[in-house]
Amino acid sequence: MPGDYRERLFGFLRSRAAGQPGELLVEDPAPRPSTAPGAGDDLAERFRAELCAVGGEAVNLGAVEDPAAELGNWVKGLGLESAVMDSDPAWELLSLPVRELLDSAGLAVDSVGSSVTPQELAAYDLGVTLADAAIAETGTIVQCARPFRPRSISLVPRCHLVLVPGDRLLGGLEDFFEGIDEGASWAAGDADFDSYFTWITGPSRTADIEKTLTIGVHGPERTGAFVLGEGVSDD
Amino acid sequence: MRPRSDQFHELSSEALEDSFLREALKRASSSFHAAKTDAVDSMPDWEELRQRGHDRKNRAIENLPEALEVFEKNLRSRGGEVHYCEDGAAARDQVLSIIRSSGGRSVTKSKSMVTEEIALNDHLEAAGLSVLEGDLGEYIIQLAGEHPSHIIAPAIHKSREEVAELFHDHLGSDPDADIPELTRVARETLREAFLGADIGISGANFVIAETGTIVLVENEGNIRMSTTVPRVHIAVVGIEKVLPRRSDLAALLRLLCRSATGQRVTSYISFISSPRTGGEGDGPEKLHVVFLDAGRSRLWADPTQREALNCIRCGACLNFCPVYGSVGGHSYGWVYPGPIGSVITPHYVGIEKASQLPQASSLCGRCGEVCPMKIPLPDMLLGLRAKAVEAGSAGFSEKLSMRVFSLLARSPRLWRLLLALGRPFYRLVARAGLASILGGAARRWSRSRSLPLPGRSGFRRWWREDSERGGE
Repeated sequence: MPGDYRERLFGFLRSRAAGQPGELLVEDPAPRPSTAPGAGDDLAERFRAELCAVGGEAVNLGAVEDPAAELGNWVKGLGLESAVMDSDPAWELLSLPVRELLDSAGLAVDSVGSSVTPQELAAYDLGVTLADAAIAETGTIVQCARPFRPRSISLVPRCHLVLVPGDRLLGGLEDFFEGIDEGASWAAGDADFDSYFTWITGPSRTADIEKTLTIGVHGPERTGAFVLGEGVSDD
Repeated sequence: MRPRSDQFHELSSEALEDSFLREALKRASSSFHAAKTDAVDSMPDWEELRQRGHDRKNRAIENLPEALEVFEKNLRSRGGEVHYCEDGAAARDQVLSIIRSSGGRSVTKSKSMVTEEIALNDHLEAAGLSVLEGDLGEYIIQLAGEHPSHIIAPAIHKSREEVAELFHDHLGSDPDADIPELTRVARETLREAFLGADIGISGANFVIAETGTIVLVENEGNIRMSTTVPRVHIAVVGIEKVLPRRSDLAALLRLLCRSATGQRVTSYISFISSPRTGGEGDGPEKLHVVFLDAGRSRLWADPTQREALNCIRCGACLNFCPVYGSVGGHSYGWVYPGPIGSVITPHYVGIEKASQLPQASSLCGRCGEVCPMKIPLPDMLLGLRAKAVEAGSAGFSEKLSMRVFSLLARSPRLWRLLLALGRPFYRLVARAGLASILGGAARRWSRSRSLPLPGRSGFRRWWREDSERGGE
């Protein structure tokens, strides 16, 4: 009977436990390695450099003269036909008119809610989302469970465009984990990191045949991340 | 997978004669070496990080029953289900019964050593289900009807030509396709399978007690597919995979990714603590964790070997092992090759079925040095050798030669005399390529190696003369 084994296993482990191990969940703050960026570092630049180093594409829109043109040109350069955006209410808070930029780049753009299926999403060329957090140390985009964003919108379209609000850009891995543990402003509200989140660092890749790097296996072959000079939080 | 670890000598002898395999292993190990060395060199705090990783993982292992219980409570509170299985057969049945009760028919799987360990695919296919491996390397191995030969690069022993031929036979692609084209063909075939699958099966790199989270590390996106599209996600997980806190991942993910592929982090890392939430339109409706014991609790109960459970399966000890680098993964006869395989396999399949594995080491110590979790692999290999001898594995000739060696090594006079007598004989044998006149282990050793020619004068004489010259 399958239910039985749980009791037997725990009984055995408890009968063989020896000594006094330290407490399992004791507070034990992680030391920050010297390679993680900290206060005073240019996080947007570090993020850009790390993501580009792994084959992603990244632009710090806060440092360019004409952010709209920069983003529009990148999208045009992809040479795609269709795009799909989630229905994140934060799109409305941005001064950058992302939807209009996609339209004028010649893409057929749909906005979708949570009822869309992965099969439907797979028909689009470009998935367009906002990052819930980004980690400069590794060039990583983080997306958590959200009622308005399908998990597969960053996965099944051929390319992924993600905008990173400036107030969601973090330094190192420790900053991210501390932020979600302590409910930082970017990890509050309906940003549900306790149910699910995913880290995305550059395009999908493999080296499974003769250790030769190949980009774009199951996930997107191009990942563009644009760091915004502006934030989206209320405070 | 039925263990053949008692055939290490035969399997490795075959492997040594496979010149493609040796080339492939050489290429792979030099690329892994370079990547890991760069990744570690660019991290000045590497030693502190190793210590931190070791301490946090050890904390969970030392508290194993509590860690599992806390994980279980947290995952259940968000709607996940947790099952415990004593052995492979129980785990296979558990997975099949979850699939049956959900009415699922088509399964996509992500790369997982533990599902290899319990031979899950054969069982599900025999039950009439369609099972497709989603990782490119695993998919190649599945089409070829083989088993992985490396923990993180399962198809390392296959050439591009072999893969092209395989895809041509099974999928009708160009027999001369290059690597990007082969990848594209696999993407298209598997894309269709992912979008049609109703069951996704994964392993887990870590599970987090504090938050009830399953952590999955990958580069291709196949794990995200298998854990996002199908209605049901089943994670098959060894009971040793647990970590105390979510924040421990900062250290553990750095250690794993840098040691495995030299990346700072991999392309995708998923952190799953719940089936899809109320507002979400995709993600699995049901989430199951199937915990596997299969020898792990027995290993845990042995304090001298317990630290082997700290392994995070990065593959570094394989990549830096001179024995693995010569004979490849299949020689080890089971799922886990290399130094870590030689340590855990005897515990999981029984020492009597794997007594040769702890011998498959030159005790050079590199595995212990590169292990990000500071597992004392060389000490453990020695401990297992001692156990095997206690269990009576040593034959008459091994016992006799050890006795003779021990006698000689304790008497400097006898030792010198024998060296003086032996040198001319050995030079003769080596020069004439007459190694075959040697018997037993010496013969096995010399079959695939050329004997080095010893110097004309011995080390002792050289040392004496060198010291007299002032040690320049």
